[in-house]
Amino acid sequence: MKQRSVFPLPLRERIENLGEFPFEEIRLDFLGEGVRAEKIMVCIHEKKPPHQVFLSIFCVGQKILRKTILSLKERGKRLASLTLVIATLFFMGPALAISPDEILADPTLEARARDIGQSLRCLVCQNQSIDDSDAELAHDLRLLVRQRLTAGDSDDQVKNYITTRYGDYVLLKPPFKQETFLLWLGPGILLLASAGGLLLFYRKRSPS
Amino acid sequence: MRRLLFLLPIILFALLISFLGWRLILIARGDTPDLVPSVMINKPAPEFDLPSLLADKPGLSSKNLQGKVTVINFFASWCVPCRAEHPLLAALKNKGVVLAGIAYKNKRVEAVEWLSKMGDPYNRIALDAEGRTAIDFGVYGVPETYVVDKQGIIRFKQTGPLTPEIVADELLPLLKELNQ
Repeated sequence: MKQRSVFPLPLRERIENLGEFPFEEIRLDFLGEGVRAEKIMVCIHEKKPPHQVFLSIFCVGQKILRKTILSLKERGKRLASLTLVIATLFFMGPALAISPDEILADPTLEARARDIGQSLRCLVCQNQSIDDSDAELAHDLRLLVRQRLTAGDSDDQVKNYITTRYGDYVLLKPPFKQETFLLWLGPGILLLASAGGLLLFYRKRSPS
Repeated sequence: MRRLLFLLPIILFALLISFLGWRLILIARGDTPDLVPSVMINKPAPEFDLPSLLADKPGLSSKNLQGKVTVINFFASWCVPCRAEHPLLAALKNKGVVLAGIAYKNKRVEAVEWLSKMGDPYNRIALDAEGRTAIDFGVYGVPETYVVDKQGIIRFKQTGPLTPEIVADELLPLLKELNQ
C-alpha cells in the first residue's frame, strides 16, 4: 500500500521509527535548534532544578504524553500520535541560552550550576540571568561557573569568585546589608505607612 | 485644610513625574545608570600571564605591572567604540604614558590587522583569547581602561570608550599624582 506523504519525509521517518522513542531527537528535528534539547535531557535524567516548578509540570506532562503517544503508535494511529507529539511542544519550559556543549556530564553538578546561573545577573543585558542570556560574557561566565564547580568549589565559593570581580550587583538577589536595607524593607515600610495613614484618616472621620 | 486633602494624590503624582523626568534629563545629558560600579578599584590587579599578540612586542603578565604606573586598555577589533577612542590612546602614548593593550576575545589575525590599520600605541600588547583575564579584571564589555599604580593596585576604571574630557579631567591628573 502506498503511503500518503502528509509530512516532510525526514520528519515522517522519525515518527515511524519511534521504536525506542528518542524524545529529544524528535524535538530537535521539530525545532531545528539545539537549545531545547537539553531541556528534555533534564527530564530524562530526572534532574530538575527544584525551584523550577514550571519545568516539573513540563516533565510530568511530557511523561503522560510519552505513554499516550507510545500506545497510539502501537495501535497504528500515526496521525494521532504525531498530533500529540506536536501538542507536547506546548509543555516546553522557558528556553535557556545554555547550549548542549556547555552542559556537564554529572547531573548533580549541572543542577548546581543551574542554580548558580539563575542567580547571577548577566552584566551585558542586566535584566537577565546568565542562564537566560545569549551574550558572550554570559556564556563565558557559565563556563567559569562549571569549571569552578568541577574543580570542587562550593556554591558559595563560586558566587564569591564572581562577586569579588563584579560586585554584589551580579547577584539577582542582593544580600541584606546597610546599603540595601531600603530595597528589602522599602515595600514593607510603604505598606505599613499607608495602612497607618488610612487608619488615622478613617479614625478621624468616624464620629465615635 | 481637610478640604485640600484631595490634592495630596495629585501632588504625589506630580512629584513622581518630576522625579522620573529629572532622571530622564540626567540620562539625556550623559548619565549612565546602567553602568556597573567596579569593585576592583583599590584592589590588587589579578594574577595573569598573557601571551603577546605581536611577534616584536612583549605580552603582559601581572609581574610587569610592578614598579610603574600602567594604563591597561581592553580592546577588540570587532568593537566600534574602541575605534573611536583609539586616537586618544596614541595621544596618551605621546605624553609618555605606559600603555598596555589586551585584545579581548579577538582572533589573532584580526587584532593584528586592526592594529596595523589603526596604529599601535601600546608598549606591551597581549591577547586574551578566552576572555578569562578580562573576567578577573571585572571587564563586562570593551573598551575598558584601567590604571594600575606602582604597587600593582587598580586605581581607576573607565567602562566604555575614553573621551577627551575623561582623559584631561580624570586620567591625566591621576597619572600625574600616581607618578609622583
